[in-house]
Amino acid sequence: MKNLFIIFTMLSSSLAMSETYLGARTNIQTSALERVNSGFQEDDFEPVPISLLFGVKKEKDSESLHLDLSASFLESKAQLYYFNIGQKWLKVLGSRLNTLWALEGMFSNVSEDSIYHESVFDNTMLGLKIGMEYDILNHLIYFNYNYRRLLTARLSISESLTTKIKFSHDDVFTLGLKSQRDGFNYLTEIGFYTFGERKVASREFYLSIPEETVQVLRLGIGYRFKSIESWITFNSVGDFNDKISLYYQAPHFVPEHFLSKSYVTVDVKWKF
Amino acid sequence: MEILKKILLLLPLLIFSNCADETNTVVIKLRTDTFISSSSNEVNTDKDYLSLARSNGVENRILLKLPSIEKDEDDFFSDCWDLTGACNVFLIPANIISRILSYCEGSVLDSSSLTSAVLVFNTNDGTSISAGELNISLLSKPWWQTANWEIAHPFSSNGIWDSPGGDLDSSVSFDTNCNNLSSGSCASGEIKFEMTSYFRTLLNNLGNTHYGMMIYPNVDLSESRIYSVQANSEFSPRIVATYTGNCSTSLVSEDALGVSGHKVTTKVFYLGDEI
Repeated sequence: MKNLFIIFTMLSSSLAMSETYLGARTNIQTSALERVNSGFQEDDFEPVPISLLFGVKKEKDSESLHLDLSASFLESKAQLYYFNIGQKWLKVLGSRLNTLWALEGMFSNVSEDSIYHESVFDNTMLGLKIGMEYDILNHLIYFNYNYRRLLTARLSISESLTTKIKFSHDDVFTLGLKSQRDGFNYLTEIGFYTFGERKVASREFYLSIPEETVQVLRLGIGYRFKSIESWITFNSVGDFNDKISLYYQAPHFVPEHFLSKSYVTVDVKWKF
Repeated sequence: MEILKKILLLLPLLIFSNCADETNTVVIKLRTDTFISSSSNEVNTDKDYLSLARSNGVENRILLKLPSIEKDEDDFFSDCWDLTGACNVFLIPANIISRILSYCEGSVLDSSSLTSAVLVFNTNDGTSISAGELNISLLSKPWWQTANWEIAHPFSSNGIWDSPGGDLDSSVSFDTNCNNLSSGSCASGEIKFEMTSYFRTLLNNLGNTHYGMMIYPNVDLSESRIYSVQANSEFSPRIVATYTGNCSTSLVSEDALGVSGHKVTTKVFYLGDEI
């Protein structure tokens, strides 16, 4: 861990970053899904208990570049890595409008003896984000679109038959407001997540899970004390039509989590 | 001169024998089976036996599916992901029967050319099940290899059996075991079900789906263990079907039989690949 810190510090220094942070995130499930007899070996899908965060940002003239990394520890035998790298153009055409793009990805590293090994959760996600922000006084109104795609995953090999799941792409639209007042930061966000069709198939089995849109509401409050910034965010996930199919529609632990009805995310970042 | 006379007499016989219909028997090995038990939700797919029983409130039933896709897995997935339908995995005749008889003339695929189709099992523990003690029915929904008494598959709410123990499709009925067989009879330890009429229906309706079948006791029955697909034995579950038609040497392809130029009337296939 000490070596990791040194590497991050050297990296940010060498690149003359405007801001660097190290942090941690924890998720606390406040309302679980209704437990259903789904046939899963494992029915508990609580959000990732702990993630380590690292990020750098470089601002120059009317542009800013950022890189955010996280390592999430689902259990001792399963880690999820996430990156988001992008660029923002500030005050486009001299107005208060910012525009941005970013690439994001999530990769899993799951041991063979983990319950998540060769499951729908042992997967890779790649995505593209574009968005815009409107800056007015102490408020920032933003609208983002994410195109995301989970790669085809193998679910099992039994009777010499391989079963795989293929994911059509997901569309994510988020509309939010960030505000500052009395030293506190506030976040209100509504997200519309459209999960594309999923196909589960082997040479003797086939099932299609149709596309579905789910709303997610986020309310957050943050405070910065000197170089320490903290956030508490409440996440409420809308109902899926099928309480079993959702495990295959939205098998995400990172970057968002859809396998709880509601959960609280706590972020603490040391910015330097 | 005498020899020439004999040749002239035999020549028509040789010509006509090559054109005459012949009987072709194919043995199709099943690829997926399991058994479910009312006493446990254990997954039994990978066991080398199937179990049938009904006693003291506990019942064991067999789930099986007739094979449907003969492609290798890479080709299957490549095609499947591009299709909007159900990847043809529930269409039997188009993919199996046609393929198996691809070395015969097209007319053989006519349902009237099917003279017999029998589903065959063998016990592996020395037990015998009397004729008429087992029912076989079609299933009304797809099931996956983790099927148990409560759940057909784990992928959606529709994967929960409406009736624990399996949802049946009553639109087609079958004779009980070892009754009204179109070919042969049941020897000791054999379990056979007559399938000719069902196969003819499938041949006549290529769009019919087949989610699988369930075999279950209709009387109290001590446990019998049966060779499963995983036993990988000549006694594993199989369909023995007989067709009448011209499958002469000239139509035999190396692809279909593995050996070119040899006229063979009984072959064992595992989804189009000769065993």
